[in-house]
Amino acid sequence: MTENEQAEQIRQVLQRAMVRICPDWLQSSRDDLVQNAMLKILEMHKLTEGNPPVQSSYLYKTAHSVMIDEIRRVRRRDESALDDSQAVEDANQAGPYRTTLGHKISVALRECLGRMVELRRMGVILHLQGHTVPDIARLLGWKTKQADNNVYRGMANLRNCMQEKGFEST
Amino acid sequence: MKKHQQDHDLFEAWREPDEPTTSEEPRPSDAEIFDAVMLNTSLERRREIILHLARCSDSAESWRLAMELKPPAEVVDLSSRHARKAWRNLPAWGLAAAAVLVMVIGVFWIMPTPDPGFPEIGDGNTFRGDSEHAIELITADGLRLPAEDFELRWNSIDQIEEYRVLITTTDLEAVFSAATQTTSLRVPSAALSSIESTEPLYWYVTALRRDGSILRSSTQTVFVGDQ
Repeated sequence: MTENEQAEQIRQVLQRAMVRICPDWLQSSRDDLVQNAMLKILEMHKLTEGNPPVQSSYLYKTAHSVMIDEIRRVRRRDESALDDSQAVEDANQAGPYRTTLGHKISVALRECLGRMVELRRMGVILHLQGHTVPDIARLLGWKTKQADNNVYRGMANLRNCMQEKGFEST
Repeated sequence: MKKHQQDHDLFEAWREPDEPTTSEEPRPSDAEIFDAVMLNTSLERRREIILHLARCSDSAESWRLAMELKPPAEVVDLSSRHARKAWRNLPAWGLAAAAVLVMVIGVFWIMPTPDPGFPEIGDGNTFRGDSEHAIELITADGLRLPAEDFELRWNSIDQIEEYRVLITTTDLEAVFSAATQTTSLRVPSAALSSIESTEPLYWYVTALRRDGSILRSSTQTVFVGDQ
């Protein structure tokens, strides 16, 4: 495979990876991010005829790294631009109460997780991250039934703890 | 209902960014988080990283991003294929004995449990008590669909923002992906033109709910071509 063909294959894999992970608000930068990832890979790997192709898993890992860096960079930029009048106006419209309440719930949630038995805590963390029970079992080296029990009981503990802290859904 | 509202709030709160950590705890790199999601770290290290996610929303976000790149889990699980081959080599009496054993176990399995308030596992993807939110794929596993009428279907989930469907080859190269608010997806025949009729495709559905929670179906196989 020629150098150009290898580069084109890498680009295609990166494009597919970026389509899967790019949030809506970064869509306009997606092509640039593919290019950044491409450059990062070319810095590390010399594409020459006869060399083994770069592994897809490595390309996906690079796409992940480039995307999370960009998400953080844009967030930091937005935070530092809070002096901007439009940003202040937006923040006022969102309402300080909502922001404060959301933050308080988040702090309480993390405190409750900190109190939980470690096995249940791990199950609940992965459940909150969006993993299914078989996924949780696989990630933690558990049987499916064990994962199911720990998530079920952990979530019950978490709800009770949040109620004790005064956070009750209406 | 109240429980689900509470879970909705918990999912939202979980995604709130936390204060920048001031602890001395070393933060795992994004590369390490990616490896953990892909099961490429030791179990011990993976557990440490998972516990760290509760203390660092940045790492939790990095983990969620890596989840989006995770191949369907069933693809790498070859044990079921080996199991099927093993069955073929069993003599007839062995199969008969196994069938009797399965029936006996089945009878005990379906007997009512003494604790009726302790619901059973739903579809295996959700934990007990959360089964009403499971996504079930209605299109039968292993079905062959003509390229001109390639429609995938699944059940409806309440409070849905959108469903995302991903179809990949066995090498995990994406063939087609789309977002929809309906419970079916018709794949354009052009997207399937390079797929051989003997080549299985994997597909699954992710449901994004209005409360921010994400549900995922199991992964199933589908073939392109006439019956």
